[in-house]
Amino acid sequence: MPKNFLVGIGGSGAKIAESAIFLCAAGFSPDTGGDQDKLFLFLVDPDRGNGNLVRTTKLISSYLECKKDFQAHGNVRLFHTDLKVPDDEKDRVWTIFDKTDMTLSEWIGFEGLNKKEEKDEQDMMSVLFSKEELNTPLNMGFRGHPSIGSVVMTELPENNYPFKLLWDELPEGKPFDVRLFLVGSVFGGTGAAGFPTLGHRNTLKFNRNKEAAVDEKANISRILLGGSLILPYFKVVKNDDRADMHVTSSDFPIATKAALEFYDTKDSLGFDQVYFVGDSLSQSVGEFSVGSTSQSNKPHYIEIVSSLAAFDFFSQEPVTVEKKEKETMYFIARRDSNRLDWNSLPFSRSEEKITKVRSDFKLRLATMTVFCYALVTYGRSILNAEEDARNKDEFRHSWWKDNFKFKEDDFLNPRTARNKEYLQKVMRFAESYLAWIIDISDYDNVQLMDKTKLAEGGKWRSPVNLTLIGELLKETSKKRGWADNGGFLQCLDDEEINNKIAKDTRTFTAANRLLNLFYEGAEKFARGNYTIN
Amino acid sequence: MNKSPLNYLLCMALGVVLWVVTAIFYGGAFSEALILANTTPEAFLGHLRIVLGVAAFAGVFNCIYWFYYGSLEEVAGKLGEAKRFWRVSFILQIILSVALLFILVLMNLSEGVHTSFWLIIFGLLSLHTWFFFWLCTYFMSPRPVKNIPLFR
Repeated sequence: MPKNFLVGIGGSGAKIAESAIFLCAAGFSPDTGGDQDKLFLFLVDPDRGNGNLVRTTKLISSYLECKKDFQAHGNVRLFHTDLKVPDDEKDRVWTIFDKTDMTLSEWIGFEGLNKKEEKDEQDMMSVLFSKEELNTPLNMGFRGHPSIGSVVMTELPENNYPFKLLWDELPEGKPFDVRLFLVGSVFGGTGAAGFPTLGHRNTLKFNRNKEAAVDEKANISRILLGGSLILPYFKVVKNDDRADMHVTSSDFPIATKAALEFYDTKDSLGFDQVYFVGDSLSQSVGEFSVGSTSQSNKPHYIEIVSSLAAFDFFSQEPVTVEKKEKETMYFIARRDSNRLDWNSLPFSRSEEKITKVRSDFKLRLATMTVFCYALVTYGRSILNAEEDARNKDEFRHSWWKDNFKFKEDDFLNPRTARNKEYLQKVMRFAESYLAWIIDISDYDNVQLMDKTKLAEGGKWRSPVNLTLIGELLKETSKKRGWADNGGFLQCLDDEEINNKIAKDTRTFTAANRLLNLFYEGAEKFARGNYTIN
Repeated sequence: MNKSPLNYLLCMALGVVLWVVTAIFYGGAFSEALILANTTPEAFLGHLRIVLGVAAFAGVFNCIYWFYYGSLEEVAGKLGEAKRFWRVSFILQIILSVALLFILVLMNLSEGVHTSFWLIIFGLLSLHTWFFFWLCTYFMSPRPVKNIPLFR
């Protein structure tokens, strides 16, 4: 079975990894034909305080915590993907520099090049880089100057994590058995520098130290290298109080043009398959920031598209030496207007798979949204009800009575301290998912979810109203409410689901039984209420 | 057993069978055992059958209405109301059993029936009213309200 690696480079790369994790949590994952889908993941960013990066690294930890203790029943796809990352949180990001406030000048030892025979090199550096570029601290990234990044990223810590994660999976590999997908923006700093540097033939694909090549002359490696180049898709609001060296939205097209011309002329790139992802709507994702914690941009649907591109790459038929490069395939989508809906996203390079993947994608996102919405509201009220609440109405529902008891037993009562602790973790994850999906929908042209039905004021603080659970998607739905016929409560109480869960999950903790029940109820509700196919 | 129309049919069948058993078989033997001052055992049996019939009808009707109410789509979200509805129905059934007993007592006040017999009659009326209602709703309530009846 091929091994799938996703590498997010820079701020946009981190955001794409974030969307990929949420999709995996929702059960939409690269279909590799195995029982358990695996996704190896790591990030590259010198700006360790970057808001986007911090958000994603926290999300990775949160996903792993939830996944670790989760027991899935039957076809429940919640946290389906086995996310493989280095054990130590620090190792999940290649931050390039060991010390803070490193400058390019320090990195190349510019001041030390003062001997007579080194003077030429120093002069050369002075020609290639301005004083500002040489002396600006790089702890906030490359500030839209990929030329700096391409210098410092050539020295790869091959034997250390996160790259060790890749090499550890390589020895047993057959040709193209490791599928490595790089994602980063072409118009910024870190992504634009990292994409061609890590995508260079000699860096990873045909790395000699790790014997990645099978037959370099025939262009056959153990690694199938793919990448998604993110073209400009957003703009940032100008902030007058800004640092000296930076880029603005108006620089994006020029940077993109230069980068694409560069890639076009470079034969040294090792990519087998490349995706170009962009958006002409150019929506604002927040205020401008050079880097660090303030660079925390709103999620954007293009990040979902990039994740879909990665999953398409991972889900392709096994590539063999004979089959390679025989057929050109396109992963594309079109829309008739500025309006982006469920049918406007690209889903697969294979025409036969598009409808199936699209239905699955919509079902998974609808189910996850309903699941999270119900869990953090109704689920939380059940969890936090007073201890003497056994006679309250909530506990008279069949789904509770059939599956749970008021005993101090982790297998019977989801309200024990241990179960509560775990459920709180899942609820925190669910809230971050809801905040993410609301932000994705926070653009006028994006017609995926209805943020006004999901949260008051369109920002995740509290849900609007449980009766709106049938109107969370922006499309025609049956608008079944919370307690209507076919409503969520009825789906949760469904006899077939409850009987199966009660029978099959005797070895599950009560917290897991509750999560499975909510997920299956959410899926039944989503199938009945929303137009999935 | 709690699916429609099975619960409706079972409830009606049980009500009829119970009436036949209590009013026809047991009632016949019961009235023969009574020593009455003025009226005949047949006339008393006629009264008893009518009163048990009213009780059985009320019990079955209340159950059927509960089944209908329990399957209404909005009830799943209003279990508090459903609980109140069930309790009121249950109390009404108790009141009805007592009221029917009083009617029968008043109709046969001069017959000198021993108190123990009236207690048996109250038992029969209870069987048709509040106990029947509890039994049927305990086992046959629609899923959304199946945990509402007493002791569930």
